[in-house]
Amino acid sequence: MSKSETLRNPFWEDFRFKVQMLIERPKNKGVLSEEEAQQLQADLAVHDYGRPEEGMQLRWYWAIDRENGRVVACRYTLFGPPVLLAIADMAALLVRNKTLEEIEKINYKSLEYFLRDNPVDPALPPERRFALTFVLRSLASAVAAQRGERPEASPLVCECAGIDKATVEAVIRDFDLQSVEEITDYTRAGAFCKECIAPGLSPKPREYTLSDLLKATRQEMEEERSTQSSVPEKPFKEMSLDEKRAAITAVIDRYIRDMLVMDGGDMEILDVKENGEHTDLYIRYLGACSGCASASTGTLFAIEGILKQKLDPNLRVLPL
Amino acid sequence: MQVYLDNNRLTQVDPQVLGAMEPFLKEPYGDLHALHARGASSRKEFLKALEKLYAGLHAPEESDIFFSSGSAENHSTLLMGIYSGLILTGRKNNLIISERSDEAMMEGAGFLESQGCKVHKLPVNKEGIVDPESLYDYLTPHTALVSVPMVDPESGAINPVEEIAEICRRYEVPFHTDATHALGKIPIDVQAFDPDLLSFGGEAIHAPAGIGAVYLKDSFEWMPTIFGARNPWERYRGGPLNLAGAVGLGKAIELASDALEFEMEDTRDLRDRLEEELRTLPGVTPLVAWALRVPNTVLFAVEGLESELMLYELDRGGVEAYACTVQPFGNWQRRPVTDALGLDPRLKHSTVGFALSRFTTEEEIDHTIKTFKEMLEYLRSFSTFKELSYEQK
Repeated sequence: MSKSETLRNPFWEDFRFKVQMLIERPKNKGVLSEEEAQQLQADLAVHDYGRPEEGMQLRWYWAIDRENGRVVACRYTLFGPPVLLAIADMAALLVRNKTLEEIEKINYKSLEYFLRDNPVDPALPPERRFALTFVLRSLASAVAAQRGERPEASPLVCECAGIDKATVEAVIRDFDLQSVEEITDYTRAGAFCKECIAPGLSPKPREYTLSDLLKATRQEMEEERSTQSSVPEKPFKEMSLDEKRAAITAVIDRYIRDMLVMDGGDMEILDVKENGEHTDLYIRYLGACSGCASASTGTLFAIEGILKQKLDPNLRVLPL
Repeated sequence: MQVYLDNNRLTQVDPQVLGAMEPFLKEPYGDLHALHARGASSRKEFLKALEKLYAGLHAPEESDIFFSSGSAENHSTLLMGIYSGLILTGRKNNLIISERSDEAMMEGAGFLESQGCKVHKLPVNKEGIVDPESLYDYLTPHTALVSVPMVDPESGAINPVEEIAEICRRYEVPFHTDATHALGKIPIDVQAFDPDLLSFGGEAIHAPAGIGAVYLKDSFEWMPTIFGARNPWERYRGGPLNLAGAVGLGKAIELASDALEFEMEDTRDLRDRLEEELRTLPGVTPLVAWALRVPNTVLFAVEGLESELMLYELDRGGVEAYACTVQPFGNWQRRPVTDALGLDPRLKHSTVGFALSRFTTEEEIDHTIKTFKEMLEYLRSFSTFKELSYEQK
């Protein structure tokens, strides 16, 4: 452990202001009744996800507009730790006025971004991230149930936390996880009895263990990476202007656009120019982003920060 | 109002204990091993403290008591001594502990297991205590040690150590018991139940944390793992000793055993009041039968509410309690006490416990009852469990 890890405070005291506010004053908690939905000219959908024996349960109440299919009101009840309360409350806020397709697009990055106090500091310490993935899975499950889909049951890996194989593989892929501890941070699998972590820890033989799944999934990821790489594998500085444009577009599509779309905004790339050792990226905000006060401060810093981190520190973003 | 009801983890230092310790913290004092007046006066105070430990435990003439740094050290040293003295030499290969032993004992046993020693964990029964009969299933001529704590710090259940000690004596197996959470709560008389080893830390009896002691019956061969003994008092554990802590622990034991009866009577009354008020609420059940529990502890299972959320709300209301599953640092217990008691798995994440001390007042208990009721009403207003069992009762 390093000094900063040793000095890190891992519990309530370290909750950020926004997360703490959401825990102490949740606004969207509670139940929606059939009558309330009727008044809104909407159908009530109730969906349960998780079980108390696994430590977390979330019940969504969505009033879905009969005409445009948007969720006009959203409430929830829950069983779970304070951090789940904060995230569920934020998710309920985000779900409102969205169609099922739009709800499906809510991802870890966008939800986490909305829980942050400022664009640079992560909202949650690593060992609390499981609640975020739980809320996202509950949303996905509610959308699927609403459409009448019944996703194939995946075999359970961790019985204590109720985590199945598909979920473990998905988090390894989505967050590029390298260790079993990270899987536990993101899902809580392996946090309780520890028997699912590696073969041999359990008295009876297990079909899947976290360490085996990690190894297998990482191998698959390596293979995929070697077969398909759209962006050329060379330093950003040595790329041609066209390649730079492609790389920037890829990063924006992958890491940034979702974040803006969540707020009803978007952006487009106008031009990429080389300016001495700097690379200047000219962009235009679209939708709700144009004219937003944060577009020239917080959001801009966030976009620039991500591009700098992923590509090159000498990149500058200039909104027009 | 801030109410501290987590006294099975740590207790506040008693002002009288602090008074006894003060000279060793504020004024110059001499080492036990020194040949001068200050050394002599230190030795005098130290021996007084040691005498109080003998008196408090009612330890016989031909027994040893020495100071250590607390439970973790006691258990680690004991297990390492067993390992090097009995297991490495091939004389014994088998260890029996309770499944509710503390972390130091569990981890130490895990180490012994990795070195080829067989470790059996005695299960607790539905009452929350170790069934002495279950010992017969595991005892062999190769058993090096049986270790069962006197009291479970979470549920407050009192283990029948007298009967366990009796069985061990019959089979000539050394018996160790951890008395950390029993001291000052139930009478302890080592001559009555005659364990081979009894150890405790000071944090649960209003002495500071980081001081503890071990009682050894004369026949037990203790192997020190902390070397550097310069005098007879350090022969089981190298010094220099935490003299202030030792004097404090002596005072704390004296206070705890002198006032045990009537103080525990008061604490029991307050605890019972809390228990009676809360158990009438829907879906709130105290775990472990009243008669089998130490007088200061009550652990509830609360249907439909998660432990951490309850602790958070109670803390906001100024009540500091504890829960069985949740700990900081993202650690969860492998097998919480609800599982050991064989309860509905839905209650696994729904425990909240209160441990009182002699400093708990009536107003504090009233405040706790009020805060708990408010917390319950507020959290149940958006709990998923609402529609299930408790409304049908």
